[in-house]
Amino acid sequence: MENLVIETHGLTKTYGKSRGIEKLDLRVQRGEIFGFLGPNGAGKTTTIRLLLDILRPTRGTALVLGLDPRKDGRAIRQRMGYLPGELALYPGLTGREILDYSAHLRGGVPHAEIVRLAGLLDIDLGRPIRAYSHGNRQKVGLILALMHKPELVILDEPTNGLDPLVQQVLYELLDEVRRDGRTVFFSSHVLPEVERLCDRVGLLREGKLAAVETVAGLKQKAIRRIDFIFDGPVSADDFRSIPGVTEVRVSGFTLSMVVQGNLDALIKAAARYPVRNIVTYEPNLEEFFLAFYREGGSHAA
Amino acid sequence: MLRNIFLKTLRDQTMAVLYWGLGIGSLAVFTQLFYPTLSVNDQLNKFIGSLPQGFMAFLGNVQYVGSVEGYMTYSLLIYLPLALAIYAVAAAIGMVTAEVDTGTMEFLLSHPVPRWKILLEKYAALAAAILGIGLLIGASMALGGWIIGSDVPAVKWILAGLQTVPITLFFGSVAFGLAAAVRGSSTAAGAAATLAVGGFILNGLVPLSVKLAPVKEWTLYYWYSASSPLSTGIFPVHAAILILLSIVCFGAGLAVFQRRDILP
Repeated sequence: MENLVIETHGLTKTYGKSRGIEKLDLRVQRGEIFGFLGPNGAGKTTTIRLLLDILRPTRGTALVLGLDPRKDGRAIRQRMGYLPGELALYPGLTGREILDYSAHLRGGVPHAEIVRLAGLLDIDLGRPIRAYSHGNRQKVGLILALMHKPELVILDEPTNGLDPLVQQVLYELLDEVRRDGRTVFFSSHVLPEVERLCDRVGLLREGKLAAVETVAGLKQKAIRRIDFIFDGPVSADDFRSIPGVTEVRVSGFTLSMVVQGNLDALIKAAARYPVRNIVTYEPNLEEFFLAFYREGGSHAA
Repeated sequence: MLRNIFLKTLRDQTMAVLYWGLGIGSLAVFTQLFYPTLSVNDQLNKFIGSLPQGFMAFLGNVQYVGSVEGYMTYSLLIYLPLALAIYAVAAAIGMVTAEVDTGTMEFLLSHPVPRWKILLEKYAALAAAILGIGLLIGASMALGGWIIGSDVPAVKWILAGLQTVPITLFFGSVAFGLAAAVRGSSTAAGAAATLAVGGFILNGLVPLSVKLAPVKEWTLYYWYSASSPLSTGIFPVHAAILILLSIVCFGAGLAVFQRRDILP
């Protein structure tokens, strides 16, 4: 129990007749980076706002750092950092003033940490928020979320608007959080960063948690494209019936297909022909997710 | 000024307080400067005597009409709550609804500060801003009194400016409470404006009709205009009633704000 940083049971939020999230059972372990994935409108932001007590659940319960957001919201927010998906800051204040204000509201934050993060993210804090680009505002938001070294960091689409170099800095900062034994819960639809960062991911579809997987497990299930180049003609029909094999095409002596899951049956079928070469492509999570959401997949947690 | 939500909110209001306080204060001084001319040869009393009884009733309980105190009361002070209500309602909505609509409320709610404290500090800043405007208006009238050589003590002018605070706070509290309780600004602005304008008109009509007499206390302006530091003296109970009603409006809004979803 102590190792669960986020725990929800049947967490449900409806807006009148509109769906928010439905019966969400989620468990996030201490020290992991948990990716919370789903298309726009799936309920990612609603879930995060319920965890922060900005929204109140219709049914179900949530525990964050072992505490009830409704009763112990102040204690939870003291120990967590948050970057909203649509970050809004006071346009008339400078970056430094925003950080000072936040530090005061938190009862004090080590100044050296603010300076370190500002240096890593390469941002001039002396300019007013209204003069910042979207990316620079996002950098201020990241400093706000990380400067007090929270036990739990919740980030809603954190790399939105960041250039690739700064994204790398963010990835290193999140790795640092994990190394410290702290926890990151972040929503994203940028799959390469999910592959790069996450230990586990939860897939949200239409307000429901459709699957929770390790990234390694996802790759196992992921779709990969394979080409066999034979020394002679090959019949596509010999491959179409193999479980997990789709999009079988023959062009000359080359057989191309998409495979999901175990390759054993496919390799054995191909071995009946004289194989000159095999070309496999890196499993692509993006294709997996697209297929998952398109086909209404259901991979149990 | 960024040490807490109260000081940050007050900082946001600084320019508005100066504009409103010094703007109306300047108008007060300008009005006072006419008094010596009007009072020569009893022109003011003759002019007032020529006004219809109904119009005089609309101006409220104006005593010493020929004196500088009476002149300032019906020339300016009687209308001030209407003007200041515009500031109070706009400021209250800006402190709550605008923060929700622009998303900065999410910034505040992500900090270890309870909801009630966010709202209380903002409300305290609203009250302080209204107090500041009242003080500036009072100080301006004291300056005007000194310029025209009035024998009315400066403290009376300052108290006359401060007398606008409870009723302005009340209209601000109606807007603040509704902004805290309900999404969007139209309910808060509409209700507060209706109370301000409707109450003013009703208060003017009450002396003209015996049938309306029982509702005079309900116009709220009664608690402002029935006493005046310049003429009748101060009745602290009147101010206390308005302040109590203000706190009730704030408390009701806070109770709903504690329970409701703040963002969609």
